[in-house]
Amino acid sequence: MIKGSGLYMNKRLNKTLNAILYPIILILIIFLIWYFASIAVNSEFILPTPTQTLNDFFLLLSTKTFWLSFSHTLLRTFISFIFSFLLASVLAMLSFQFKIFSKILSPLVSILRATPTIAVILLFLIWTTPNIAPILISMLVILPILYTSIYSSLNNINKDILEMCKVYKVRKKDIIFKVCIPQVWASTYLSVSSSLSLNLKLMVAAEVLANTTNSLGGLMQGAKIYFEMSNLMAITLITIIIALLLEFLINLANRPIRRWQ
Amino acid sequence: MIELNNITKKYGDDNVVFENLNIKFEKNKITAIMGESGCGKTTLLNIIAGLTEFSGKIENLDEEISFVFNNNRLIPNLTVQQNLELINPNADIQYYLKTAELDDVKNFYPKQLSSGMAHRVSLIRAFIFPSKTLLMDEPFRNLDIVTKHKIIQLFLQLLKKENKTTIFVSHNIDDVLEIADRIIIIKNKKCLLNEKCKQKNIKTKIIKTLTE
Repeated sequence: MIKGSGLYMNKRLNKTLNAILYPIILILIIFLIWYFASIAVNSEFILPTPTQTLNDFFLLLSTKTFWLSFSHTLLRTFISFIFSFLLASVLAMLSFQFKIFSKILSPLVSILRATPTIAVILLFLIWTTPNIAPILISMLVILPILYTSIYSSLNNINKDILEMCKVYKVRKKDIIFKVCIPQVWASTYLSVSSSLSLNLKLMVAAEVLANTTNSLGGLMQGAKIYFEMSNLMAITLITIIIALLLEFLINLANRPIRRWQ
Repeated sequence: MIELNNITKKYGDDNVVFENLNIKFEKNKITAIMGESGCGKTTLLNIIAGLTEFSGKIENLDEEISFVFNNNRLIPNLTVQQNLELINPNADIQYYLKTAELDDVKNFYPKQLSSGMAHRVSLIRAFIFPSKTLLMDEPFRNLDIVTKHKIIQLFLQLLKKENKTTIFVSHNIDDVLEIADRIIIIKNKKCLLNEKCKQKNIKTKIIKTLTE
């Protein structure tokens, strides 16, 4: 009993170390390198110290402009992600059901994947407004990634299980919701979670180039113009934290899947 | 009688599995199918279950069929109880779980089960489905002797409660003679033997037919 509980404690300790301690050590190392590099450079216009950046970071959090920009960027990220996800799901299902659809979409997806992101950004900046362009740009980049992932997951649904459902006359509704969707989600959630953070990064990049008002990208562009390097680093830090948080939330939502996988 | 008349099954143009195969299965009896690996035993079960295309006719077969697959085919994201409820939500699942000594693991996912447990879940799934015909593809394969004995006993107990026309594929003569009423041997795309199991020298007859 005592031996067993000891083993359990060890396992828990290892889990805690992996989840908390190691990332903290890594972050401290990065900050130390950054600190010594900024001392060596000795110019806050090129590389500000972590302390200056953290000061600006907290200062930024207390301003209304930041929260307005933050909420708009996040909203745009979610809008583009949800639309991309829905569109990718519909297209993947159509391709799965009708092979002709997959034959038509396959070269299109390859072209979209091969198109340089910067070209997409520039074209949409010309064709649309600075508020809409970032949404369309990130949609166009993550759509092929999500489509490919969902389509291959649909093709990998266990055929043996589907045969079993056919023999036992399982209702179509149950096959979709209790067999297909959980299996597809289990094999796509990793690409969904990385697409979401990629979406945020693309959004900020597009906002910088589009000079979108009320956006994190817009704030970055402003900081760059006025040489506020510590401010720029602070916004970057915030973007990294949001991206990590989004990935963490998706992983949290997938806890039930890990129980049966 | 379930009658399979002139069944022909081909994979492509060259690979002929059966050619004008005729077999009769007695209703409410247990029939074992034996034959060399690759002779089409599983294909025959798939034909009866409607899982593969073929030419020919099957007569007197009920629409509802239960199938114990050789790889269990439990849905990985559903617990044992949910797997069974999906097949027949109105069945007395607790009774079956208790009979199969699975009530302690009803909330387990398939990956948490031992192979013997998964076999038993697969077997009771076949019995909770309201069918008159039961197909089993090598149901006692890869099991240790104790687990195999347990599963055979469970099968006979469930069958006693609810009789079904059972057709099962096996490579093991002893298993066949223990539970089957009739034995069918498939060889060279034809049915070579269709006899009662309870008769003298049947084992010799089976071995002779299989090895000749």
